[in-house]
Amino acid sequence: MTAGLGQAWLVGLMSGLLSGCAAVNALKPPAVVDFVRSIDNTTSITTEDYEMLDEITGLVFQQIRDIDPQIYPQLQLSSRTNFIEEIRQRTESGFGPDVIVTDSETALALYRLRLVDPIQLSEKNRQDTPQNLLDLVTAKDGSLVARPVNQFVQLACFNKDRLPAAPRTLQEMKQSSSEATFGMAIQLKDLFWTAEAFDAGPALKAAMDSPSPTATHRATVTDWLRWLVESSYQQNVRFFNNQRNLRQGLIKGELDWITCWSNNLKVLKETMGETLGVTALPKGPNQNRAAMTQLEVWALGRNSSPLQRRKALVMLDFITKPWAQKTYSLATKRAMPVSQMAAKVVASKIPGGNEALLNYFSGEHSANKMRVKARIFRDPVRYDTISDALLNTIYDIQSPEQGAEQILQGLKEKR
Amino acid sequence: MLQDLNREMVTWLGYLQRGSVLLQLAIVVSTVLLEKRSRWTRRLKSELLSSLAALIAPVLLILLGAAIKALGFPGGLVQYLAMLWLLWRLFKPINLLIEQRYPNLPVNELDRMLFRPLLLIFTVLSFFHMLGSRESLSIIEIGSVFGVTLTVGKLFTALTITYLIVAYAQRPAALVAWMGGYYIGLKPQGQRALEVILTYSLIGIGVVGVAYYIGINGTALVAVAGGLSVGIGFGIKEIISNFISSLWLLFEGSVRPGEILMINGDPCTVRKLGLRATQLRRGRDGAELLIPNQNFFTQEAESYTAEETSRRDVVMVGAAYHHEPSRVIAVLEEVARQHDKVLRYPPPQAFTVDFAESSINYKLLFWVRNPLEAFGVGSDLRQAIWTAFEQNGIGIPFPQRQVYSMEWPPSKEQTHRLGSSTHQLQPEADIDSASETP
Repeated sequence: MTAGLGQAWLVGLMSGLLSGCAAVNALKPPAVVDFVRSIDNTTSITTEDYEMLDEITGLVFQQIRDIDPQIYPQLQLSSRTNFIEEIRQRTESGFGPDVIVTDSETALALYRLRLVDPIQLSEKNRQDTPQNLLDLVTAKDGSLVARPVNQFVQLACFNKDRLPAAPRTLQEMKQSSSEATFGMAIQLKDLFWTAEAFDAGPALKAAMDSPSPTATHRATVTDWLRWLVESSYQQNVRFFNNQRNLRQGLIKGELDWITCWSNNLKVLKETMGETLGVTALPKGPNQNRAAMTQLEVWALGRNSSPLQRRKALVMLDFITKPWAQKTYSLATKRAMPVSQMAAKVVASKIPGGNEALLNYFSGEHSANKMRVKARIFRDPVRYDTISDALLNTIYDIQSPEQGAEQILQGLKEKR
Repeated sequence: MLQDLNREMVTWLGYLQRGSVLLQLAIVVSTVLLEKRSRWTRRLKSELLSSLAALIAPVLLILLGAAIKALGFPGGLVQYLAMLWLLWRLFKPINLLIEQRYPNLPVNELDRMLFRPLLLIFTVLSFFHMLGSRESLSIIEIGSVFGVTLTVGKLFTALTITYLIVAYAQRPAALVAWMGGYYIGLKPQGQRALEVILTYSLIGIGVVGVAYYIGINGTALVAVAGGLSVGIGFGIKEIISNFISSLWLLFEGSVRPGEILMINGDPCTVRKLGLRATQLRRGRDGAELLIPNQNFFTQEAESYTAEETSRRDVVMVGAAYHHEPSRVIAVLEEVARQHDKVLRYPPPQAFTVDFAESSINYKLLFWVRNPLEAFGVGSDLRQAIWTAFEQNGIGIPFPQRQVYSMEWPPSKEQTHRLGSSTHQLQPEADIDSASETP
């Protein structure tokens, strides 16, 4: 009887303590974590942009809140134009975001301006992410400036009504240009696949590492630029300023084939329906070209309070877990996860996924290519050198030979 | 809409969890309070110096913000708030300097209607930009107007443009009207009418432009115009009628500021010709009258200033029967001529108007330049006539009555005396004649 009474007291005390703890938990202040995501929009943000993003992030945020109800993630969108300047102004005033969702090049640029804090990643957490992806967000001083979360795959989008079969090689593309109109964006990140197609990577790497580039390297780069110039001479090959213009051209029927990214397929599918065809980019002389990808990363802003920073890290940890990576990739079907375990599971479901999967497991050769790209893309001077050379050559301001020399010298000077 | 707004507001609350933001706010607030408590700037005698000295605190705060940033901490909010403070305080010394140099410029009006509203718009835009919420806020949908989705951004822009148009449409309109007067000889009242018409035309065009900017198409505007026609027909026809009347009156120039009109027998000065009503000041008691314009348009109005401003007034006076009328008339006309404000031409004239019970009545007519002075001049003339009659021995007769006490019931004698046909009512023997005093 006495023992029973004692047990009842104990149970009562325990429930009181638990309910007290619950009440204390309820009194905890909400931790508002401000997310800013850059979007590839040259004009201004629209309601549709928010609606589309809510579909993608709504599920993630809801599940994070299920795990930690104290977190209140808030998402804002910002167009890529003036994105860095906007983040700078906000950070200098104390209103900088807690987490910045952007691409690897922008994250590196933000780090150079001391607008993001480096991330300390344990060896265990690094294991599931390919090193070449981490290289893309590693600054020159060795700091990891952001955490890779997704990879968007570059693809070829075409109108099936106008072009029943998309060209599989650059040669076929040249031949088809009399029947269909092709569009490409004149940005290095959008045109780098052509360099890969001509296997210009080793030449670019040599320019960065060797005292002087060899004739073979010079010839490779010249061949690449010559192909671009010849393409620009084609009646039905057009160069546009950015991806957005390319997409609009395809939707309006002005273009029949464009390069596109997996994260933009939803817009195209919604507007073009069954006429949209998606396939891999054409191959060039280099038949083993790896899939071109663009990394989406999460970086930590500098103005967070200690509580906001802790919660931001919780979210960062959550989103890179293999389970979360697999779930959200399958839910949105717009990007490859950076988690190797998740990538294997979802590759067949993501457009261009199987080709992109090779980048995870094809060994040192593929990793080297990715590192060359990383070294060029994370260095604004090198990036600008190649961009300028491409523009000047495509617009006939200089010959392909001069363009090649400009690229190789530019890369060497910054070595 | 509420969900979107809530999202932004939760984000702003998140900023208040940051020590850097709170510290910056504390710095600004404490500086403002300290500056309020120290009154040394008020001891300066010159207003200009005092207003310039008031700039020191915001400038120091800007420098402090820069120093915080140089140390690698967030100081932008301090700088931003200090800059707004500085801009606000700059208005006063700038206004004083402009007033000193160009006294005729409408500085206060510019300050009130242009500079301060512009600062307000700048503040709203820059503040939300600093928070990173400007774009997100601007796309929040408020509702639908004629099938067009109205967002916060569109509404803000539309209201700003509309304010600027309404506030400043008068300036270019006045310039064009002035040019009309200068180059093609438009009369002042025509210029004023042209200015009003141009002002409202500009406002109309501006409002239609804003409607197009929002996205309301021509069909919707036609529908609005149709609705307005019905509204005008039933409800607001009086307003439109008054508006049209005001334009007509402006062109005609019959009712313009300074005009003197008789309203219910009282001379009133027109103060302002508005688009709905005309504002007048009644001379008698200084009351302000607001009379709908259509009254002037549809009813007769008595004006003393339509063509010329002089007004004729009259003084009535009686003189005893035994004075020769021509002599009285001469005295009256001479009195009028002596008054400064009585016009020489048309000359003052006196007339014999009535053989009354106790006097011969005369009317002295005279003209004055300012109709509102007629009342005062009449008073002066009456005093002068009394003096002149006194000097000339002319009497002003007036009826006198005498009251007799009577018995009740009347005595036989009294009844006989009063009721007899041969003895009509006569004064009693011991009382003097009841005839009027000469």
